[in-house]
Formats: sequence, structure tokens, C-alpha cells
Amino acid sequence: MRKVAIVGAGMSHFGWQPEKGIKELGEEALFNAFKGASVTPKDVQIAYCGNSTGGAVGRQWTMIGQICLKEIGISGIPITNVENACCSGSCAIREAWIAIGSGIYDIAIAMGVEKGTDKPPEERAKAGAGTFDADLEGVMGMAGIGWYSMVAQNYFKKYGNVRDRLSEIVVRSRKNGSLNEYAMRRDLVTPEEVMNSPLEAEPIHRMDCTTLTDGAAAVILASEDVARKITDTPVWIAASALRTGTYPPDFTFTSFTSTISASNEAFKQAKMSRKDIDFAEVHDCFSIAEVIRCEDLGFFERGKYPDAVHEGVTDRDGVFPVNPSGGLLSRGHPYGATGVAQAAEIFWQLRGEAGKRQLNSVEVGLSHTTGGLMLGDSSSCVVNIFHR
Amino acid sequence: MAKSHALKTQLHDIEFTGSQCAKCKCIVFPRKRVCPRCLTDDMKEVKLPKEGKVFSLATLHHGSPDDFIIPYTNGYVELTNGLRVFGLIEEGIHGKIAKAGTSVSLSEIRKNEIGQLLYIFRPSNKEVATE
Repeated sequence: MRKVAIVGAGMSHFGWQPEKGIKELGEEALFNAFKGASVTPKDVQIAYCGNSTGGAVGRQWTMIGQICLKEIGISGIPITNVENACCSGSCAIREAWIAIGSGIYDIAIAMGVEKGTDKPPEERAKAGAGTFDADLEGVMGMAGIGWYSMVAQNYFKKYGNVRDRLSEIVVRSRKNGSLNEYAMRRDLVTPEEVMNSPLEAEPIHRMDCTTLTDGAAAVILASEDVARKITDTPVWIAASALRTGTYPPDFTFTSFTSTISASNEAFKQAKMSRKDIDFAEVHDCFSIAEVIRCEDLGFFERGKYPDAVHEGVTDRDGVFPVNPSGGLLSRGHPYGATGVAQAAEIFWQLRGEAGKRQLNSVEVGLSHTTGGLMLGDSSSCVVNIFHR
Repeated sequence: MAKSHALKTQLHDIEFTGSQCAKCKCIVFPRKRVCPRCLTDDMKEVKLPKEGKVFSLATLHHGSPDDFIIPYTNGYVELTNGLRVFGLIEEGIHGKIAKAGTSVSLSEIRKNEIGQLLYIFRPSNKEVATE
């Protein structure tokens, strides 16, 4: 496997954008990725595009990669669309990493895009059934909010009621998101405002939840030979691991197998330990999700993450910053774009280009993205590790 | 809590069944033609127990698909044979409300307009109202 680097990254704004279709969103992210990247669209040899809900809630439900890439003059090359629910974008990165790492290609695009608000909320809610086992769970009203309600209840039962700490996660997320020009939610909130937001499903309040929205992100990947020629600041991909859930019959709702196995695989690939990671972008689709992710990833002991948040460990100036971008809670969650946006944030942080939210002295960052839920387990998870 | 569902036909002639593998003896739900553990296609239909306990449930107050009446409750029920199945969880007689650990019984199977089955559990009659 050859070394592969990211040499450019770009995003569109994330959030409700009725004036833009999916190709305008994609174009914006791609255009921004090429700014200062020292490669042109004509240099790109292969591309992968993550999208998840196009068929369920979007007007454009096939050829999404082709239609977006054509907007900046990329055509004629192999373009593959990737669907793995909310981790589609991270899977697109992984496919591009394999394509270059294998030695077949030298320059690739991995992008993700979602036009999540084409249809009204009730239709989106109905389409949500398909993000579970549609015939066994979705049909009976399973929803992400219900799922994470059960996660929180089981976590509280096992480790104690940490409702106050969940609010602190939201507060920290918004603080970081307020500094991210691409984020959907940039207003600061207080713990009281989190608790006063409408109850969705005990103990989950509205501000504990991300939301499906519009947005796109893109990264340009290059082989080592190319990367060293065109930039002094490549961001290397040390690992890219995808794992699927194993759906244990005695599932606990406080831990998901795909995150554990993907992270173990990623650390093995990278020949690194948890202590080598300086910061992480994790899949905080709900505040309680951030808790179990960080514990499943092995960064914190079981039951200890909420107190670490309280103690400031995960703040931008803490020992282990989590979601300096604001994460899904603040950035918003255009499913197919989320994993690529996480990689873009890590790219900028490692190059010292993250502006007001820049972390101090970071060398290694990890992204974690999950996709789909069923039968007591998370169905897909990607863990990518990047270093300077 | 838990009135949950409208516009569905209640079925009286459907058994609550799964499949048991003749080779490895594992029981799966719903019925399957091939055993996912050992790939044998010698699967026998078996009746499943209608009694169990709520493993975990959630009551949703917002954002439901349009054929659910909010708030509604669903969750995983652990049947007396250890199998966990997902279902809607509605009020029992006299307004008995289920929570995690509550004994429940399968009270109805409904079919929607495209033929999908919905399993409705309610607190068992013997269960003392919990709130």
C-alpha cells in the first residue's frame, strides 16, 4: 500500500439552502477544495461521491457524483457513487485512499453531498424508516431520536444520570461551532436553554440532536510522489478502516461493535496507540452519541467521558479536544458530506489553517463516522487517522 | 403515551412465529429460508412466546412519520426464550404503562397498506401499573 495524502479540502456552507440544488452545493465544495491546491480538475484521475438520502428525500437520486463533478469540468474519468448511510462520505475517502494506495491512480477526489431538505419534514421523517431495518424497525416508527433515547436511558442506568453533562456537550459544541464559518448553528447556548428546548424522547431534548440538512465537502487525495511535488504541507492518511456491526443478540445500547472494531483496525494500520491522537472529530449526531463514541473508541474509560467533558478535557484548549469544528451538533448533518467535512476540519487543523478555532500544536487527528442503525447495533463505522 | 397507531388492519389469523435451524438449533425472527449462522436451508417454522419483558423503550414526542400519533412508544422486547424483537408498545388495560423491565404480551399483529407487519405489545394483565 502506497502512502496517500490529502492535498486540498473545501466545503460549502452547511444548513438549509433552498436556493441551491445538489449540484450547486457540490460545485461550491469542489471549487473551494481546488483553491490553492496546486492541482487542477484536469489532473483528477478518479472520484468517489458519498450521498445517502438522494433517493428518499432528494430530487436528484442517481448520478450525484457525476452531476456535481461535471460542474467544475471533471468528466470522462471513473466516478463512483458511494452509499453507506451517514458514513457515506468517509467511505468515499476510504475508496479513494485504496485507489491511490493500490498504485493504479495518483490523484483522486473524495466528496460528499446531501440535499436533505428538498421535501417537507413529514416526508423526511417517513423516509427515516429506511435508515433502520425498514421492515422490522422502521415500519414501527423507529427513529434516531428514539434509538438514542434508549442509548441514554441504558447509559444512565449503568453509569448514573449524566443529563447535566449532556447539556455541557451541547454548550461546548456550540462554542466551537460559533467559530466555524461553515456551520449551521453558530449561536451560543446555555445548559438551561438545552433543557428548555422541547423534549423529543426522554431524556433527549431538541438541542441534543443534530439535523439532516444541505451541504457538501470535498478533499483531494494524492500519491506520495505527487503530494511531495505539489505541497510542503501534505496531510497523510495513516489509516482508513471500515467495519460493519455484528448485531449481537445481547446488545447493550451503551456500546456498538462497529466503532470498536473499526478503531482497533485503524490503530493497527497506523501502528499508533490512542495516546498518539491529539484530537478527534467524532459522530455526535446526539449529545449522548458523543459519549459512547469516545468510550467505544478507547479514548476514555467506560462511564468516564461525561466527567471529562465537565472538567474541560475535550475543550479546544483541553488535553484532548473533541469536535473542534462544532461536530454534527453545530455544523449540521448532510449525511453524505459529514465524513468528508470531518476530514476537511482535520486537514485544516493539521496545517494550521483552522482560523479562530485553531488548536495548538496538533500532529495527529482522528475522524469517526457511523452510518445506519439496526438490531441494537450501528451498521457501519469508518475510522480514519491523519497526521502531518 | 402509547396510543401510537392508526390506519392499520388488525390481523386475527397470523401466528407469531420464527424459524429454527434443524442443524444448529438457533431461532431467528422473522421467518427465514436460510440459517444466517450455518447456511443450512433446513429451517422449521416455530411458534414464538408471546410473553416477555421490555428490554428498552422510547416514547417519541415529535417528528414521527405521518401515520403515527404522537406521542408513541416503541422498543425492544426480550421474549421468554431470550430473543429480542422490536415492536410498538401500547397501554395495557386500565391505562397500564410499560417501562424497561415491565412484563408485556404480544396483543396484536397489524398489517399496513403495503403488507408490512406491526407487532403491538402491551403490559401483561398481571403487571401492576407502574405510574
